[in-house]
This record gives sequence, C-alpha cells and structure tokens, in this order.
Amino acid sequence: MNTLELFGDIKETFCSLWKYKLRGETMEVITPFTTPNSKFVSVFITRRNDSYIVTDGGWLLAGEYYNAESVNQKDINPLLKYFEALYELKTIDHYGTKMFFSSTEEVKMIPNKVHDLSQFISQAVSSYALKINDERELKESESFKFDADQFIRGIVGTEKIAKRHSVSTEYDAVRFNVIIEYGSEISLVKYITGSTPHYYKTSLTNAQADFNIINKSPFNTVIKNRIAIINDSAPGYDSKKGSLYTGLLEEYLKRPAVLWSQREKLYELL
Amino acid sequence: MIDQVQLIAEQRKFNNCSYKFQIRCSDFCVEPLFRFDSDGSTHQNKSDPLAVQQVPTPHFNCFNPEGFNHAYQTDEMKDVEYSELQDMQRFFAIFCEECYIVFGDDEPLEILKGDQRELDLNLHNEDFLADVNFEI
Repeated sequence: MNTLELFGDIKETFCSLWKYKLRGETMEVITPFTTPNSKFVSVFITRRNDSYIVTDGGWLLAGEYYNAESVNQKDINPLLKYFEALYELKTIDHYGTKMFFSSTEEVKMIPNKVHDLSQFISQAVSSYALKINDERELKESESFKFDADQFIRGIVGTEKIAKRHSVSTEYDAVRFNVIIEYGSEISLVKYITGSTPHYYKTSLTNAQADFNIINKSPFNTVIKNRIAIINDSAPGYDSKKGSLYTGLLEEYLKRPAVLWSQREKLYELL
Repeated sequence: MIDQVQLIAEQRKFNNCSYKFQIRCSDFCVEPLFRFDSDGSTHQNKSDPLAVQQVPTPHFNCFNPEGFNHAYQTDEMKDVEYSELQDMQRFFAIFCEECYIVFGDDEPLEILKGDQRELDLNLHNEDFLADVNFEI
C-alpha cells in the first residue's frame, strides 16, 4: 500500500465511525470520540424554531459513560466548569437531569457544535477516570504507609524515630518514609508500593534516585542501614518486570530490599 | 463455593425502550457476567480494528477470553428501529436464547413488568428531548 492509499484507508476508517440513530425528531450522532472506559461518545441534535441544538442529552451526568456517583461528586465540579467554559456550553435541568448544550442558527456551524460537545464529553469523562485513579493510588499508599509505620514503631519504639523525613534542610527534597536515629548514626527507610504497575515503578525509581543522591552526599558516612520495604501485595507489584529496577536499587542500598511478606527480616536491620 | 447466580431485569422509568437484562454472580465477579442493553452508549471493542470497534445498542456485553469487556450484536439486533425496542418480550426471548435460559419444558420465559397496581400507559415519547425547554 502506498502512502496515499494508506492515508485514504485511515480517513475512510475514521469516517466510518460516524453513525446515527433516529429518535423521533431528535437524531443521535455516534461519534469517533471515545472515553477511557471504552465507550463511543454520542451527541443529540434537535431543533427549536430556527435554532439547532446539539446536546449530550443528559447522558454525562446520568452516568451513561461513567459511574453516576463519581461524576456527580461535588469536588469534580471545577473540572466540569472548566470544560463547560472552554466550549461555551449552556445547561438546562430537565426533571433532575442536567443537560449540556450548544446552539446555532447556522447549519454550517453544526459540525463545530458536534465537535465541541463530543470533546467536552470525552474530556470530562477522562478527567473523572484520572481523578478516581489518583484517589485509588492515594488510598493504597496511605494504607501501606500506616501498616509499615506501625510495624517499624513496634520494633524500634517511637523515641528513636526522627520527626523529620529529610536529613537536612539542604537535602530537603530527598524524602524518606522513616529516619531512625542511633546516636551519631542514622538508618534510612523507604516504602515501595503502587496501585498500578505505573505507580509501582515510579515509587521504585524515586527510591533509587533518593538513595543515590544521599550516598553521594556528606551524610553517606553516617548511614548505618539503607532499607527499602517492597509491598509485594500491592496491586501494582510485578516481581518480574520490577527486578531490573530492584537490582539497581539494591546497589544503592548495599543490601537486598525487604519484601513486606518477609518483614520479620526488619528485626535484624532496625 | 459459588453461591447464587441471579437474573436481573431493569427498566428506566418513563422510557419503555430503555432496559437491561443481566446475569450476575457476585461471589465470582463484581461486574455482570453477561448483559443486554436495549439503549444507551455505544461500546468500543478496543482489541478490534478501529473500523469495527463500534457496537451501538441494542447489544450484548460479555467478557472475552482476554478478560476485556466485549460487546456484540446478533443479526436480529442490527438495524432495529428505536420504537421496536418497546417490545421487551421479543428482546428478552433473544437474550434467553443467547445465554441458554429455559423454563420448564423449553418454554420461553415471560417477562412481566411494572407495578401491577398501576395502569400500563405508554408515557414515553420516542424523542426524549421533545419536552426539553432549551433556553437559547
């Protein structure tokens, strides 16, 4: 297939994704715009006297594309307001369902409105999905942090645990989950966890960077033990894919990382 | 041990063209195992070539061997006029046939809907935007 044929194929494929359904005097247009949770966006076109209305038909907030409870949460409103203003949309409440719409008296501007509503719906759903993803990640890391903090406190007691999470103000950007003080020496602990492989890998590579920096700092000589605790029951944990990164981390730790399922090893290290 | 498998039918109030039939087993899976949607958003079968990814309603939803949600239409469901969806019994029969649900001696299951104390008046307008007062 030559370049022009290839382009023709791509264009034809995308064009074939435009479909319609008639619902009385309203036409549902199924668009090629999609949501992260595998739905194609629909917009509805109807007439009011001389105006053409293009609307989401209330499907966004009714939960047709995404869980209704999530999309109606109050704290998601700023995002919705942003997109609403971006596309200059209006809203109308119809028996408790809020619909977003745009209107025009010019037929040639209808495709513009279809584009704007479709983008709006797709982007709004994407922002919900992202927010829920972030919330899950926060919940997961907070939960593991609580369990690990409690376990470490049980071994060393609260007095030896430093209140700060960095070694000095100069190195304030390099954060550790726990710093344990042993007189003139310290031990540094980092937790590795993640609700998805992406977040897990981020946690791992952040730990690598932090231990690498601290090893090259003047504080290197006063570090008793460098400890990484890997949450191997985290949803994002992947021992196979993570092993290359774990290997590098362990070079900086100068010892193997500790798996959460083998946390009794911490009794020797702390 | 797996407990109960449930057959659930839901219809939107004031719209007798919008309904779902689901097979659920919450001990096994949070999501419905198999589903029929008469109306609603078009599904994207992500693992298919783009040209054939779109599956509008009415459609079935199931999980493919890779564990992804997959939608499809049988021939009887393609090119259905919206008003034909009012015949819920017809689509319920298609659903039962697709997931091998029978009653007694291969008799078709009959679906009764609504509150029997109320009159079954068709309040639905095919054009759901007909009475929306868009302030332009």
